[in-house]
Amino acid sequence: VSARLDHHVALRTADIDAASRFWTEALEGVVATPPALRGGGYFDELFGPGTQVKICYLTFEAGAIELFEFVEPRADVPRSSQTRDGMMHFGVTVPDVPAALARVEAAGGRRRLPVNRVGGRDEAPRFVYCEDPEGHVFELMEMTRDETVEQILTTLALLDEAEDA
Amino acid sequence: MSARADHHVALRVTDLERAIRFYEAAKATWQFLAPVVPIPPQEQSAVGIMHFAVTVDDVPSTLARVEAAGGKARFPVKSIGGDSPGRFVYCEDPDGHVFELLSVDHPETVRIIVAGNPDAVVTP
Repeated sequence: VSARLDHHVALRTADIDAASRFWTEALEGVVATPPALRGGGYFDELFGPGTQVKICYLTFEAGAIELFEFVEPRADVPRSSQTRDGMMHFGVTVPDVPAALARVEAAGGRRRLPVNRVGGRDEAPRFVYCEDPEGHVFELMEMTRDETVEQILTTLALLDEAEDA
Repeated sequence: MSARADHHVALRVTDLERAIRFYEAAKATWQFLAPVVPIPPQEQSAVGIMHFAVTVDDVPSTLARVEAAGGKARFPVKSIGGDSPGRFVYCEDPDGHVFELLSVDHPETVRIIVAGNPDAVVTP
């Protein structure tokens, strides 16, 4: 069985038009399918009988975000908590973290902490945790998945060396 | 600027070893030693980040592996619809995190959504 964990991340929003604007302006997402109201059929089974939901599908250079605005039942979107939520955040690879962060902030998002380098090493790739306007947390990273694994292993090895010293 | 929204999804778990066994390569799975807070139910109409989706070759056989590993389906495997042979199912891992298994890729997913929404217009 091959499984690729790259299809999409689904986010709930209270305003699907505003959310799709944010992701197109912040990270150059492309609205592949514009917001459309869906209900009945398997949506009753997915989300409960009588559910009415607007869905919009945005694609990126890789991966996608699927936005859901529940019209019925309507409920506030909780801001993410990294220590309390089940699904904490998702990661996005960008070529330049400060430049991408500037776009995020211009589009109405914000950073949760200053831009850091992995392990605090001068030569390591940069990363930052951000929030969209509704509080969904995502991480901007200047490294691929393979490079991330290398960086984490390097950090752990250095921590071991420091502990042994 | 190019953005690749496919780096990782971070999940909070109550038992890291169990979660690693479940995902087999869960390098992006976190366990909080302190504070210890129960994982809340992943009610799709109430949470912020709802689910993540995984592309697989065969949904039923992958679901069988998910169930054997301790996960479960939220409903029976569905046809994606239209003329597509594609199928999908929502699943839960042992902590209740919801993930979707699909047997179609992005272009096919977009084509199916557009076909099911005659008013939809695809942005070039």
